Amino acid sequence: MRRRSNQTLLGLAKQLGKGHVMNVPYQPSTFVVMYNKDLFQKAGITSVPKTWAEFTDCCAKLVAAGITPITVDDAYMAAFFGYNMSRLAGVDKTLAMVKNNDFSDPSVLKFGEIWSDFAKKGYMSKKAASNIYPAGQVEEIATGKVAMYLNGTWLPNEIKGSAPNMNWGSFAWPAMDPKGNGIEANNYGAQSFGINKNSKVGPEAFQLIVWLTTGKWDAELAKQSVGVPMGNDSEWPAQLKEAKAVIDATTIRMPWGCGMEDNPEINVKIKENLAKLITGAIDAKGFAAGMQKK
Amino acid sequence: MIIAFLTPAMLCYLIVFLYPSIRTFIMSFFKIVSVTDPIKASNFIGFGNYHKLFHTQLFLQSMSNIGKIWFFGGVGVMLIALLFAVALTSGMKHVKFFRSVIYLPNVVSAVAMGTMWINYVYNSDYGLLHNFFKTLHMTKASQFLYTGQDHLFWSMLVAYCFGMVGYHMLIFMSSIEQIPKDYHEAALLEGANAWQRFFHVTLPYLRGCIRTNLVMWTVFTVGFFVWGQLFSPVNLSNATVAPMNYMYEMVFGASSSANTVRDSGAGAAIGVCMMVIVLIVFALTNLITKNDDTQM
Repeated sequence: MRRRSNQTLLGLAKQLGKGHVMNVPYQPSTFVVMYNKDLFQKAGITSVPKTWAEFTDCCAKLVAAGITPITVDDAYMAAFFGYNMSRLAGVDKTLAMVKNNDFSDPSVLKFGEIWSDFAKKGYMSKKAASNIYPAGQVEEIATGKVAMYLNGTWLPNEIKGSAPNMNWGSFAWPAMDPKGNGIEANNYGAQSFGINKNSKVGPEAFQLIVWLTTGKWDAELAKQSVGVPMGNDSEWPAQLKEAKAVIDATTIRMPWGCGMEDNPEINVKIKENLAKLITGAIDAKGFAAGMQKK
Repeated sequence: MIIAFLTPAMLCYLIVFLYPSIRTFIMSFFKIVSVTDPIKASNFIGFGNYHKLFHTQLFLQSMSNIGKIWFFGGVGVMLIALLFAVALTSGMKHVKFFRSVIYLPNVVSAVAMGTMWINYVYNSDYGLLHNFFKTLHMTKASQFLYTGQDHLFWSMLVAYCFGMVGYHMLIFMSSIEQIPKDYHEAALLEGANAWQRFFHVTLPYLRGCIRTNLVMWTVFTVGFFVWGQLFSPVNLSNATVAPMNYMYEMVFGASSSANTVRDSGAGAAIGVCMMVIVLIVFALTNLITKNDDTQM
């Protein structure tokens, strides 16, 4: 199995299991900017943004073409904030912010300034402030009104019913500040199979898991669920081909949302303040103040 | 013979109702992770769970939320239910039709209702309210974000109360219909108008009924859960969290894979708090409507 399966994912499973593979991963995914290639083409964008300046420029071009650049909804706000903070302050500092519930760092104000400005310019969809999951992806992305969404590679599968022929592309969230991390830091993970420690048929269960997660059935699952196969030499679905490059270039793995969902009290703060920032009800200072409330 | 008839019901009551209640009460004084874990004496922490809860911002927010639901929602629902009940018992035509229509939301699943409110009524692109205001050329009102964080709580409250009116209306109606017609006729003969008849004949008769409605409303409010889940489907929000939603995450874990903390002891403590609230309200309403010489 070791030779046939994705080394990065198995390595991750080993690391999370403290040196032992406690769970067998399958259906891997990563958190990237999923975008609509047709809309990018319509706006005259020829290459994906690799820096923040290019990203801002992309947004301007999209708005000029009558397209809303990016959106978010209440389920993904924490991860959106976490990713931004990893680029503005770095992964380690962001994780410390979560651990201590301390958002007094100036990068929080910087986030507020950037997105308050982007909201005013129409780069961030106004509806993002009121989107209840899955409104962001179903009403805005699938209908072709919004071009980008910082989301997981599971997104094409989730809305394949509403947008079966969408021309998907993906790129890593670009670097925003030299103090923070860049595209080498990403979140990736997978579903996984585990075996109950009290099971009396452990070896047989393991054989079943191997059979399900390699070869023919791994490929079949990936095909039917527009997902990523585990096999090293398996074909990635067309919609997710570019995401492969993101995972391959990842040297620092962030936990989900860079930790922003670990504490529900932080999560509710983010949702409340980011929504108000987008509608303009509060400004960047108000956002920073709201995040510092304990 | 009597014992043979009573036993099945008694067993059901003991096993399904009494035992879990007592166990939950005991669990609230221990540190327990999973709801199926055994209660070990070594994990006894007295009022530790309660202390932690009342110092947790999210729990206090949830209590504040149900406080607002209980008061503002309660006033709104009771007034409208009473209005409908009086209207439908005043001898108008097609009573059965209106009664069914008003009660219909109670029959429809809350999930279906919530989905309709979120995806149709409140939608800011093609929803009912958007189209309504657009036809009136009130552009700003038509673009109002009903499900934005500023207004999410009140939007949820309106949607919830809409479905609750029918239930309380029926309770009021059943009580009003029992008022002997003689009283109303006597009042009419004395020259009382509709308002005076309502305040001096109908309302005093409804004292017991108001108490019932108040207690039932408190029970529903304390158990407020589905609507909070619907308006914040994936994780908790300050605007929609109720103690039951918070308890659900505590006992069964959050839906996010990032947050794996479970604390069934705290969940049990929340349950006990909810029970205490209902008992207090019940005792208070009993005290206030003590002199109930009219029969329901």
